[in-house]
Amino acid sequence: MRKILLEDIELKDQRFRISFFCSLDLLSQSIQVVGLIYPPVVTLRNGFMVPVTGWKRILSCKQLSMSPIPVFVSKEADDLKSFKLAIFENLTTREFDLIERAEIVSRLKKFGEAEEKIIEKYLPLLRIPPTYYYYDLYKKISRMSKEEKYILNQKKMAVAVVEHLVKFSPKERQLFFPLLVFLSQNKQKELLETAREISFKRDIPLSEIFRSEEIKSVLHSENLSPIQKADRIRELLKKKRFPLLSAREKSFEFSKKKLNWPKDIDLSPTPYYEDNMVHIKFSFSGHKDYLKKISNLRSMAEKDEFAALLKTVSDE
Amino acid sequence: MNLPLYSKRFRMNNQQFFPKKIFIDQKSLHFPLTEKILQNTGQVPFEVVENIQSVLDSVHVNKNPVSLGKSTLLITSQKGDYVKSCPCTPGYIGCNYFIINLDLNCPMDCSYCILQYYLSNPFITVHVNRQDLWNQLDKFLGTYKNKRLRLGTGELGDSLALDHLTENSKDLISYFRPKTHVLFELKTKTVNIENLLSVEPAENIIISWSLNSEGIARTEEKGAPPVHRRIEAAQRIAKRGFRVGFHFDPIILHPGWEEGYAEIISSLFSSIEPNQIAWISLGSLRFPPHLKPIIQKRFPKSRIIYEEMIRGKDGKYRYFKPLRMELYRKIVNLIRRNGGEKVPLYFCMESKEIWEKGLNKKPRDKDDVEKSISLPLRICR
Repeated sequence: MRKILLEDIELKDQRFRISFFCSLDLLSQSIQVVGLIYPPVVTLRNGFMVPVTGWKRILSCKQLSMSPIPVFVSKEADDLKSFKLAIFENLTTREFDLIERAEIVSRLKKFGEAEEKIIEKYLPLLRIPPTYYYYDLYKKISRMSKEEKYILNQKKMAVAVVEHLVKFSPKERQLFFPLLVFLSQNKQKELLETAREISFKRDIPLSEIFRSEEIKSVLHSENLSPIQKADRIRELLKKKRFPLLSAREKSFEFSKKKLNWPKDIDLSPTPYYEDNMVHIKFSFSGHKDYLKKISNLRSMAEKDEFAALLKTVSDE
Repeated sequence: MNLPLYSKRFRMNNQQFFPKKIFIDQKSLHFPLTEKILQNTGQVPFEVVENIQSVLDSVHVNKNPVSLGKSTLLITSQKGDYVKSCPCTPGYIGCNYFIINLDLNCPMDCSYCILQYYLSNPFITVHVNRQDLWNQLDKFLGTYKNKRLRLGTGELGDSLALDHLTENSKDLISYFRPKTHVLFELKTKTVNIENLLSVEPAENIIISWSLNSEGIARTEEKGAPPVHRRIEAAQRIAKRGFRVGFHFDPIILHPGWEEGYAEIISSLFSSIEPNQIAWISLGSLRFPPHLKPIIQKRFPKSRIIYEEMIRGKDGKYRYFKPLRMELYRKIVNLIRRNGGEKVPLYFCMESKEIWEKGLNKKPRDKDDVEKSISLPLRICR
């Protein structure tokens, strides 16, 4: 271990850096109170001292204008071996986030580790299923722009969503980000999947879908909040993707409205109208209330609109 | 033990399938069928392995484990039951079919194939402990002595794709020939019928082909022969005296689908006498959600999954009901109009409503379906 000046550490060389989006506040406070307990590891490359582990510690010291700082100097000249030190030092103390995992996978490959070894040995350590599919997915994530990675990190986007996102070009992804950040994970997935499938089915680029008048009017609306816009666009895309189902749903709801169906009696079709049945559900308090609701249902059944409603589920 | 690499490339539509490599489970080395397969595969390199699992694990590191699996043959033993009731699918009507799991996986590469999802073992697998099969079948058939049964081998693999290597068809036909209360079906997309042509037909043996439009066969059934060649093979088998069956499954919506299916149905009935057709089944495209990303990745040009599909009562994707109804009505009409008025038709994995509206039948359960398929055949002596 030795002490070196901070300016002697080459911070521009980030070959071993894993974390890019981290807050230094807590660590800086800690160093301020108790000092640097665990010295970072640096190594010599092209005449400069390059950080191997302890990036956050070094950056915190810089923030606190602490110099010189204690470091361990590794004599390891091989980048792959040095990088493994960085991985394992972190691995013992914390879990990696999505972007860190992607950086590790891509850097291992860059430093010459065999694909098979990365899949079999490292992916399980990173809690990633050991298959080529995931290896490829994380490499694609690592190739995303810094801005995209920042959003993924800040919004803690799930792998299940990101695996849909990487299927789009960087330009196409830009169309989605303003919408995705306001949706839940399931809705994010649905939005991405639906848009991609419309584009595939109609053989048109995604930009053309987003240029449609109805989508443009939602995006540029001044009356809708960002959350409402995201939800409205998700609904519009769903209608384009499932035109028959959407028409059936609309027709069912229209019949219900025309019947002036009572709000305290739930009337719904089977999921996706797969059976020609409808479900009725209601609660009642006492005999009198029960008879009232039954009588209400009977009078509904006698209306022509009720027959029309039943027709919407029967495929006749 | 490694032999020189067998360099002959295979294509199912021109030639028969030969693997690039064979793994033999050490415990299955001594079975007669292992020896027969090695004789029939000639110089294909083989490796005897102690631990099959380690070989299987190594496949998943590969970029395309399914494709790798399709060029590799695994010879092993069936540790579980050979004979199982066809699971059908929850929420829809079954047909009381029993499946014999002889071989697993298939050298053809259909985009919609559910077997792609069985990644725990992507190899084309032959189970060679045949005496166990005969013992299990004896026991199974013994419990159903007075009941008409339908059994077949084409559920988890193609019944004839490996027949030049295993000669399964000869053994199975000679086993089932005297069991006249059983209808035994071999189901295929291939034209690998040489062994069949060399054996005597029997009334209770049905050779079936999976059919589709030529367009779908060309774009979605990689490695499978064109449909007209399947019909030619069926014609030769029918002329030999076997009864034949056909499965329009999966029926797929695609541009020009009506003309595509009309052409095949017309060709079918101009090649084969309706009274030689034991049955025709109809089933529209359906698949579990996990298969979707696999199709997207392995067949990026395929568009079959982008039609209007919903999650059915079994959780699988299938066409929205009005689309299924339209497909079935038109195809049933085509079959009836082309001479198949009396050919037994049935739906695979469909609802009572579809049965009623599509075929004007009201089966209460799978026993009713079973009767409607096998009773018209009058095979019991």
